[in-house]
Amino acid sequence: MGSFSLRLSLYILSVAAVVFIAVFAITFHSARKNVKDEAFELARSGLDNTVIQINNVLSSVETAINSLSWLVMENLDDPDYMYTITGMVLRGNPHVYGSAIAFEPYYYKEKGMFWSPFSFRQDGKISDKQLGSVDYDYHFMDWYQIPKLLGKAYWSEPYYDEGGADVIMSTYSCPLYDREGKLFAVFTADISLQWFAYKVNSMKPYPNSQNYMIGRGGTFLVHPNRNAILNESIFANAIYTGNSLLKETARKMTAGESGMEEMERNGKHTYFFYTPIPAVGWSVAVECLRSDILATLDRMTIIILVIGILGLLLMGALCHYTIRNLTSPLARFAESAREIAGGTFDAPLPVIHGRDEMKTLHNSFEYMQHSLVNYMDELQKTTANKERIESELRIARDIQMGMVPKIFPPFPDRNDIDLYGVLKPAKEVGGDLYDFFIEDEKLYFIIGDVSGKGVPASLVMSVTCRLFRTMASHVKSPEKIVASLNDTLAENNESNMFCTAFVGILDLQTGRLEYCNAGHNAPVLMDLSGVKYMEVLPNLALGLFEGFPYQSQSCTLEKGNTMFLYTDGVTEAENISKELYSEEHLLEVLGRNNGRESGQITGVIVDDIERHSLGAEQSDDITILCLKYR
Amino acid sequence: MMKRVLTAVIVSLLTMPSVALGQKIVFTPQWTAQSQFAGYYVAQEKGFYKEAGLDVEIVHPSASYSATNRLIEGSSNVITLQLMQAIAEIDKGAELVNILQTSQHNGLVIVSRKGSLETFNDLKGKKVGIWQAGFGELALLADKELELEIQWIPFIQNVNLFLSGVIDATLAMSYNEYLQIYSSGYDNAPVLKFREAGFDIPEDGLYVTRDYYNRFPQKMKAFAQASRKGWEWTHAHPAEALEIVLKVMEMEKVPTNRIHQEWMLEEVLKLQKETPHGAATFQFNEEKFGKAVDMMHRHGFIAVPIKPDQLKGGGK
Repeated sequence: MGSFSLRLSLYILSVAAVVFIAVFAITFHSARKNVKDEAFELARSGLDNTVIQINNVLSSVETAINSLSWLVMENLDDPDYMYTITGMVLRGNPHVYGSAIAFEPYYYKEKGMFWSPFSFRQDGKISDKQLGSVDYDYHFMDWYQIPKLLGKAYWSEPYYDEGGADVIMSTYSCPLYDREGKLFAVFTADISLQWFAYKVNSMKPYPNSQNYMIGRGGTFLVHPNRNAILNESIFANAIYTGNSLLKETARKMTAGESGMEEMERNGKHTYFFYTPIPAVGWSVAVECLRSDILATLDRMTIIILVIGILGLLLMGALCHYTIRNLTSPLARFAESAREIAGGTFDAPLPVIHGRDEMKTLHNSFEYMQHSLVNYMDELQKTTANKERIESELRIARDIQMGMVPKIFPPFPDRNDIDLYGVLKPAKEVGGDLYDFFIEDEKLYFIIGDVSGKGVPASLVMSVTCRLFRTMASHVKSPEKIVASLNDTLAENNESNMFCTAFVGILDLQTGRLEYCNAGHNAPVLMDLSGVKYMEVLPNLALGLFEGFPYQSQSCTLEKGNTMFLYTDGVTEAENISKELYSEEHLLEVLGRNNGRESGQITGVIVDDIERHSLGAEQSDDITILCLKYR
Repeated sequence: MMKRVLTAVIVSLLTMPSVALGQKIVFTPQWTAQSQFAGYYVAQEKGFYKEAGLDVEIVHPSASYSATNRLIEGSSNVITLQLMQAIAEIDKGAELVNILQTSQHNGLVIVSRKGSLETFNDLKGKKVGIWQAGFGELALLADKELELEIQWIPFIQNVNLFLSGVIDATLAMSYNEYLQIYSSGYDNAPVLKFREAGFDIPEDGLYVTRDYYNRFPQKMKAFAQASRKGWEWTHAHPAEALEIVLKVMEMEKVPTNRIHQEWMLEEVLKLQKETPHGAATFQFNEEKFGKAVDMMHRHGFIAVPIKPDQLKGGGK
């Protein structure tokens, strides 16, 4: 019972689990894609935004320098006026930290080798100074030399400002050419990268995301580790750690590409987004931990999984409980069924409240109980009836048996006749008959077999018996006895019953036998010459045709002759193999017992038939009448 | 027992004066703290100088006060110098003694962009970066020797000139600038090695003034010995030596870059070996010295040829 509900629960549970897993997998997959897409969008927009802001500042500086170049050209005759111009750059551009107009050696003979008017911010004010000296030969500085050699404006690679600690600067240098196209000065503006770093670092798409900015050579300009700034390079890091993907990424970054790489770094799975700042050739990157991006999803996944698993377990428990509850009456039904089978028809049935199949089962059980009770009542009545009938039949049998002579020897005071008869009905009452009486020294006898068996046959038998007694004493000839029996039985024979019979009248003084056969077996005559069937006319059984002309026959019995009369129940007695006792066998047995007393012969035959049909049911009445004339 | 303690005291008393006679030795490498000088930091850190009875202080030069100037002015007693620089200084009148030659091979290279300048002859008429502050004499010499007529573009430091693309190639030390370029995404850049073009002039060695050497010959031998021991330990324990270098760099407030320093140490140690798989020999190769002097003299870098003896300490 437990296993049934458990099994069913498990089936339901596994189906539910499969559905849950499928739904979960699909949801998880699409959610993951959405989360990723969103994350990428977030990172990318942050990067783009930052780069736009940085670009704005860079281009404002470029514009400032480029747009003031004409002023330098206009005022080349006044070397000191250059301070006014550099001052203007600073006043007009809050992002510019310092500005210089650095001239070629001896451009102004009076200023000598170094002439580089420089305006810079100091303590909130704008100060001026001349930059160049033997100790600071700016002509070889990157910011001077590279644009000069390039022949175009150039943003220098970031460098630590010599004056201020930890301030990273980059210089925009614009080469200035005279009318002959000869370079005479480089116009510069310095900006602090602090603001850029701040902008880059304010990107915080995820709690553990890290921001980077690298220069043209992969040097870190922004890095979570201060020590790496302007000191370490992304290439060296990639080569050193054997991270070829990072190296490839670094190459793309310095090549001015933008994109995203998924990589393993320091044992963590990261998404590395990068986008260039084209004006300066730098690249900004934000590196997000995969675990960060998927954190919400992972949390949701865990919650869904926990709820799902708990739900499944709960469902399983509920299923198990419900099914057990639903099916628990079955056990009680089984119990009731056992009780009912044991005879307690009113065994209590489980109480069912619903209107479901269980109620139907309950109703069926109840119906069965009622039916059983009714049936048993019926059975009792029937049994009582049967018993009554049986007792009546017993009485009828007694009566029937009372009709045939049963006391042997019947004529103890006579020594001229030895007579013995047996009647064994197959049922309570039978249709066989025999009778005899002596009147006027003549033995009147009859043996008969009524068609059918049981009560109807017994009734005909009793009628025949009674008629024989009545008729025989009046008619005194066998054919007349038979004819009148026939006529009486044939009259109003609605049920077409008939009766074979053999009637004989033996003159005990002479041994003359007159007899008339009405469709009966021929009797066996046992005399000195042996045993043989008597010659008899078949005629017709009694009760079939009214007024049938029966013919009688006669013969004379010698003293010692025996007549063996029987009904077909003898020769047709079957054994279990459906083999008949047979006439041959009867003759043989009779032959062996020729000359014996009629009671002995009858006993031998009866015993022999019993032996023959041992174990088989007696199918027909067995009747024997054996008479020995002496 | 008592006797033994007493003996120890007497021995120490006897030996003390000779040590006490010499004051502290100030040693100055030619650049800021980096792996190029690992052996000396190791000797100091591991107590090899102290074991030799020396009291050594390592003082680094500044941009405006070079190691050479410190030695000439007497604020440092021992310095490191490249052989050709030493020859040039002697030519200018300084009297220097080489007490230990660490470098056996030249580390100067020319780095160009991928796909260009595969041989020295390809450099003809090209723009090549050179340190404005020196170290590039060998390249100038090679330029003359090979008649390359290179357009030299001086730079102050770092490799931005090269990275900006305005020059075709740049001079670099294999253990320093080359590594910077290598770290800037040029790990496939063609490298021309001077040592493979017949210009294998050894570089770093330890130098003192002849005057100082004459005053403390034993101490200088002991210093050279302890320094050599420092280098040998570095060869045996490069990882630990790197940690010592990084510690010194941090103390000196020089930005530390572990990867760069590791590669630098590797390269410097390689250049100290005569053969790639041999050990550091610390030999002063007179033949290479002679070749350097000859070339420098022929091309007018020095006025008069210098003999090896002029760099050697006496009293052997």
